[in-house]
Amino acid sequence: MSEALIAESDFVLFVDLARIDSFVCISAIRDMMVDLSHPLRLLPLNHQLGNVAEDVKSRGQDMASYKDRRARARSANLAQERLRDYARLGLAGTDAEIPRQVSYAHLGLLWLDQAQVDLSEKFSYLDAYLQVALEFRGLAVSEAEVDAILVGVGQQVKGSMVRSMTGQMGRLDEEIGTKGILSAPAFFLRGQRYIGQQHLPYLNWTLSGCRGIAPV
Amino acid sequence: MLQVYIDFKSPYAFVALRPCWQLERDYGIAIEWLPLTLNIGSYLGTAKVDDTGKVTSNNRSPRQWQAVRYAYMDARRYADSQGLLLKGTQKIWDSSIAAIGLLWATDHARNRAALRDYTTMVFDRFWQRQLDIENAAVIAAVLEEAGISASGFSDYLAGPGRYHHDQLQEQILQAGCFGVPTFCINSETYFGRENLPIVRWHLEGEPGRIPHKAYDTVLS
Repeated sequence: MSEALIAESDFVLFVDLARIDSFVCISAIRDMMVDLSHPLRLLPLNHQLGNVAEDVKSRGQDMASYKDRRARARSANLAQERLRDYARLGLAGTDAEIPRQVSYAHLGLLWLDQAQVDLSEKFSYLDAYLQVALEFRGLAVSEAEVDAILVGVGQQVKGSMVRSMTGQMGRLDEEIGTKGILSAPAFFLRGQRYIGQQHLPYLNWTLSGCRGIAPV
Repeated sequence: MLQVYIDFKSPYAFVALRPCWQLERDYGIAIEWLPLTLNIGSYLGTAKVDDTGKVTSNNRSPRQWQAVRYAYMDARRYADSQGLLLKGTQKIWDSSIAAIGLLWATDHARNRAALRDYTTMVFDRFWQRQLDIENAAVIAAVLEEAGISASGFSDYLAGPGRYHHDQLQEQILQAGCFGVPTFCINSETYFGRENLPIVRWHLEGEPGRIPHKAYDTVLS
């Protein structure tokens, strides 16, 4: 049996590069890590739990109607949230949508994790990826472009080296599923999962030695 | 004006209650509390469990169970941090009577403390499994205990209160509110307790860039 990719003692941020809220979280945790000595892993999450309301078999017109109207309200709210997230990144007023097809970019991030490069290089990779993704405006960032970004952060990527991460990615997907990490951004610390950026101040407090009163 | 939408059967609304009342104290505001009565079965399926926690009936998908179990675990974490007891419910309750009680309390409470006591007592006791929120007499008794006369509540519940509540649910959905807690302030709508720092940012005049989602500040 192969060794687990995620150890119980790891501190991990799971990100989905198709979602702008992951980049907001990356920006926030980068600031936090300046004052922390604890190692952080950045790992890609491929499968979001999504809208579980789709699983309900509507019984009766009233319930179906409520479900539809709620779905519309939820969708409108999510769109509003995305705009706020762009604003948090200083991209207010942008009409850019980052690409949804990110599987190769996720392989690139896993490559960096497995190569055990410095955290700063991973942040550089993510910064550069976001820049390119905003330029592509909804189209997938090409594999060659991702390779170029990796080279730009000091990785000597050749041919199918990133593709060789595919098997590892499958294992990672399975471990993420087993651990119940339902969506990104999410954190894993001391065997516990925390879904959503809002947990960051609590994690900071924990990693800083639980000094003072815990955020609630 | 800050509007806060709550549902007494939501664990996330429960753990947001005290931080919201803290906003009233910190900023000297009067929150408009409004009931958003969720039809949970329409998006999370339904389930019943017995006293041992064993599921006796359900129509939930594995994805829905994952979502529900995480939500309870997460809400319990927030509850623990506030020293609150949060016991999982054994069925999906109809919280509309307690919601209509909230409308009544808003209209009849002599002061903010009475309204705060009604919301706190209903939430705390319900999540300790000590309050039958589907029983009108029980809700009337809580109103009285909070110092709010329940004289006439029964007629209100059967007539104008029920009508107002049901109309409100339609308007709320149309306005784009779909879950609790939801905060409406300065023409913006925020869903989720993690938006409390953003609500504070609005209350402070929106200085600088919109803040990140986070826990709220320490309760006093």
